[in-house]
Amino acid sequence: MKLRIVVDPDLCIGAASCVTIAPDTFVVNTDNKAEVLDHGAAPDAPTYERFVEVTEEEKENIILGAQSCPTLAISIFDEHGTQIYPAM
Amino acid sequence: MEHVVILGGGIAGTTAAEELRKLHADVSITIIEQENHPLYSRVLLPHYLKGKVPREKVFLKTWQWYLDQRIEIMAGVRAEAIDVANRFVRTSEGRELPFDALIIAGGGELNTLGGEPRGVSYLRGVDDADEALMLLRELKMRPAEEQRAIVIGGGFIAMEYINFFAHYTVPCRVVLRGNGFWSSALSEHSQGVLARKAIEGGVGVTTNEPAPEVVGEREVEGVRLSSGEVLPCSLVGVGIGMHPDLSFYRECGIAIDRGIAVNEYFETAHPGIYAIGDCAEFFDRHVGRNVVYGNWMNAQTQGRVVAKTIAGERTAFDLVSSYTTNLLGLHIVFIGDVDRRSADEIRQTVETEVASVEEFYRAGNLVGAVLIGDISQRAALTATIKGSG
Repeated sequence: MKLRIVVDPDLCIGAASCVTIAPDTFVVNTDNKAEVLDHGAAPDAPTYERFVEVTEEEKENIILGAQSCPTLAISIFDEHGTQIYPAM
Repeated sequence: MEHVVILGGGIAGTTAAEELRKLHADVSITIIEQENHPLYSRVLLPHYLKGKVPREKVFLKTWQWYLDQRIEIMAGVRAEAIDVANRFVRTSEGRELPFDALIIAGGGELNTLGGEPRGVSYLRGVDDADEALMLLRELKMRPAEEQRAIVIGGGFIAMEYINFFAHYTVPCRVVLRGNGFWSSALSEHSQGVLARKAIEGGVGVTTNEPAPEVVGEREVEGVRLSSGEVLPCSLVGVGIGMHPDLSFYRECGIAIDRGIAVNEYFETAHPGIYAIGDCAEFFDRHVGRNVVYGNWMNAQTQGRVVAKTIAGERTAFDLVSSYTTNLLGLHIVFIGDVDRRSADEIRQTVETEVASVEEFYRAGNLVGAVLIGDISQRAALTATIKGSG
């Protein structure tokens, strides 16, 4: 399945809890903001927003990473554009 | 396992409850929380103070969530005694709650100056943030020459106050107990980088004031320095650290040192009694000694780990702790154990006008790092600390 993973750089404080839990999906850049990776890589360019093809297990872990964010800077949407996290 | 009681409904205790419910459909879970709020993010409070998020967004759970999860929350209630031998907790309402497992996630108590008039602000919870905003609005109504704030302290909370006052263009001076910011943790160079940043940003810096005194009968009038000089101001933000309320646990017969003493599974010496979060002193295998950390990721991860252990899957804690903040936009990251007194060797690896990186070593292993202004080595240093543990 495909997820759209979005980091709000304005909310992100670089706590890096997402990186600790889901290092294949998140990385903190030199501005101390989390960027979104596609399985450890940043095809095209570094970005705060990306569509990523994931397995069910990867999805669970990415959501856990988003849940660990103390400023709720990470939003996750399914392929239909429905927000999975944070719950609306 | 029938009854689990959790003291403290912050991120550590609530995460433990949430994880335990996932692992155990039947166990009864009760949280005793002093504040009368569902779980909220203390880390979001600075964003709330600066108007970046509305107040309701600070809350991470609703009261309905606790019902849905069948987690009983006694909010606005204190634990008055823990009977270790007979295994029950007595609450401020006089109830006696038996437990098979008890998780102490009581956090810490703020250090205070004591006896303050109106206009002295602390920043522990959402009620404090509400009050700080109210005091700020009052300050903004005063004549321009009275719109002055003072920050007492030079750590993480002091950073938040400085950024808060700067955001609302309130002239501010910071009064530090030691030589500079985090004077017991940072090198002179690191302190210099921070002091320069503050001064460039228009923040006054006063150092070596071990006991600044708030002046004012009913309302704050200023802060008196050791020389007797009074710096006038109408708002004082205080961030001088916190401490676990250890005397309570000691009276209950629970072994404590700098925090509640636990092993890497968060087990105390008493079977079935665990401690996590800011009040726990645990063995951190990545840094090789007992530590007390007070940060979000640490507390949340410990909640998750202790729930597994209680559910029968004994799990050791495995996290390189880190904490990040900024001073007027200058990035500050602390990783692992940055206690100068416990380090054998401290290497200053970046030393420029605007940046400082210090690496802390013990027995030849990297155990901690401080990065200011240049955080490019963050991931690599974290990996090294994790690898050497």
